[in-house]
Amino acid sequence: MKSSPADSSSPHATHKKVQATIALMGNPNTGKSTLFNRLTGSRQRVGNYPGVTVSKKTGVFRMGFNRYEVVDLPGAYSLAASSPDERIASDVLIGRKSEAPALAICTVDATHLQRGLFLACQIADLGVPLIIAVNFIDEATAKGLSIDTRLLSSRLGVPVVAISAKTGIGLGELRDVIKKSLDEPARMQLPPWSEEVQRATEFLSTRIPSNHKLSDAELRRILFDNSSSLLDVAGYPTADRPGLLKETRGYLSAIHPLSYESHAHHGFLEKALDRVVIRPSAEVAPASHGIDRVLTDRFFGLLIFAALMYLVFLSIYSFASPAMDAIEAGAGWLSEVMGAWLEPFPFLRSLVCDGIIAGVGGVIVFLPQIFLLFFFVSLMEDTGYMARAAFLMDRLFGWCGLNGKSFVPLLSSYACAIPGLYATRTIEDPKARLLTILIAPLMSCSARLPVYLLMVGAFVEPVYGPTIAALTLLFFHVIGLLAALPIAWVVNRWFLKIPPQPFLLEMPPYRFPAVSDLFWRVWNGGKDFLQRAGGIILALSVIIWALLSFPVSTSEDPAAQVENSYLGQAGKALQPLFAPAGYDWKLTIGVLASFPAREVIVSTLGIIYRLEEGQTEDPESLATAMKNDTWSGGPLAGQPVFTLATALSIMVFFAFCMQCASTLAVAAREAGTRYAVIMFVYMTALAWVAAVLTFQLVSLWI
Amino acid sequence: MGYGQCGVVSEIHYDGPASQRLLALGLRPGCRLKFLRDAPLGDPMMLETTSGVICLRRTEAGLIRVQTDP
Repeated sequence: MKSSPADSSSPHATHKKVQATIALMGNPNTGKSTLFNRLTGSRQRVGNYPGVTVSKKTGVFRMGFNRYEVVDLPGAYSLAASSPDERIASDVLIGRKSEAPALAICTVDATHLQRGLFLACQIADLGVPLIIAVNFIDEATAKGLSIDTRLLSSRLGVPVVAISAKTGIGLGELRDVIKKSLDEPARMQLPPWSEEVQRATEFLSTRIPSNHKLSDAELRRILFDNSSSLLDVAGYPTADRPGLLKETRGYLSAIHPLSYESHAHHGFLEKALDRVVIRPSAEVAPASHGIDRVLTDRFFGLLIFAALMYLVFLSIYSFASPAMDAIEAGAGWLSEVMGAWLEPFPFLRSLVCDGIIAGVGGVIVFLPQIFLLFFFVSLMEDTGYMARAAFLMDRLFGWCGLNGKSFVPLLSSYACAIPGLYATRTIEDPKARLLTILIAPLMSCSARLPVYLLMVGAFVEPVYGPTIAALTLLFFHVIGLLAALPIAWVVNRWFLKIPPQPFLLEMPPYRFPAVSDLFWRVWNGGKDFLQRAGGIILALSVIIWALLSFPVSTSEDPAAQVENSYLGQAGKALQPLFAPAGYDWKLTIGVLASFPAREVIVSTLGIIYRLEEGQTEDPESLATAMKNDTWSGGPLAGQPVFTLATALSIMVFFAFCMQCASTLAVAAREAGTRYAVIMFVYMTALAWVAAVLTFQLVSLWI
Repeated sequence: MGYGQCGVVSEIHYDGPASQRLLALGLRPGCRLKFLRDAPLGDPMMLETTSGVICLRRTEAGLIRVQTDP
């Protein structure tokens, strides 16, 4: 018998609260989240692990008068972490950075017992009490498999419960088993480790500074893992680690060190599983294989994929519109009501209507798109289609450091980058995820369309006709994608120091998702957005409002107000910076004002060009006003401001520039503030360079 | 391996996280494999194993040495 207990003492021995932590672990695609939902229902919370962008999912599980915290750890195939997800799972279990769980429930796919139990062996080695939950028992039974849980339980020494989290089979028994295990924890009996391993851990313990004592199990984790975070805990200098590991693993000579753990545990499991699973004499080919033959077929597979993607895109782009319009109308109505009520206090009125209500409305208006996106993404993931989509698309993305899973987020970003950024959560590889986030806003989002339409309608179509105009529009939509992939390649090659993950994906069998699961994902997604990004977007909206409203101008003229505000003054001051791109001061103000949200430029320009009240949104009158505008000073005095060159330059600028406070807020939440800032800087710089180049080259040519 | 061909894993080249991932997914010497198909542009490939269907890029697949059935 082996395994000394993990270092932290049992939580409920010293805790005053009647609360212990239960860790939920298991391979990906084992229905772990479904079980989590079943155990905790609405009492879920999504938080953060400090320092990492992996979400922390916790919930409360009630049994009688007792409450337990359940932590849904990310799916992992092994504690020998090769991804931040697996690293978190490992860290929480070891219990160094926070309290170790009192109990771990390991979900295992009934159709792949041995593979799932490998993780259980690793958990057991750390001395954590264990319950094995064999999920998808309904699927197994349908296939004719029968699993002798009692036999397995007696061989392993821990309770084994057959469940189907989706349908509810076995959940009552599971609850009973959980209760029993909390009172009398059961630990799995693993065979003793070989002498070689013992010598290796002894050697390792001599090398670790004595004030950072590690248990045998922890030493074994260092031995088997790629780069265990336990070495951080031990305070071992990073530079010396490769040498230490090489020397330590030198003690393992019988088999290659990296396969040692696998060999040991699988050997044990093969014996333990003997006669546990009884297969039917004739195995039926799973339905999934047949479906896959169509869905991943070279021709039809791609066709179906394209159709599905089109549907997703269309829904985010168009189907969400009625709801979004309704929200905007609601905000508008509220604004009017408050406006009338606050009539005697013009300043307060402006703050509430133009600042706060506009700001809050600007946040809520995204909810329909976000809900829709979470719905589709969850649907694809839970049915198992997402893995096939990634399989189909991987070649397109693999060469620049991304992987096939980047496709859906990038596609969604064509409608709006915000749901697109949330979609990146499906990408487990942190490097690929970060890269996708960084380039997602380059996809031409729907907010850019008004600008394109205005410019193309006013300056391209009259001269070159509708066909060229349409092609130009198409070009500007594509230009983002064409630039994004090489940029990803450059960033990947020269800047990001994170090691990439191997692209190794499991293709789960196709399954019907549990409707309640979908509901929770969509709900939590929207909630997350409101709580995290909402605050920042609101704050930024108020700031921009302030910049446009102060100092308060003495004249009634709205154009004068804009000109004399801080933003307006900044525009005039920065105009020389934009002169090489062909903008005069009015355009510069327009560009600056549109930094929080792209579409603002149309109405801002409307104000600046002194259009009548009812005409500010009318592109025709704005176009006419712009075409007639001439430079008031400087080297080009007297000449028209808006030439084809300027128009193209503006479109290029908008194509590449990061002008969306909301996207930045979400990016800060998903990737960290540092990368959000980097995103802003590189995109703005890129936009400026591209705009200048466009203007100069087109001016020469035309 | 050709399409639809079956084989047995004879050896895995151990080299960092990719190989550990393969092991964790249940691919070990002695394990049966079947090459199902590859993606439209040739990469990645889909394999059926005793522990389910997986897909992997050719670079990672190169780590696995297989003894194909005749």
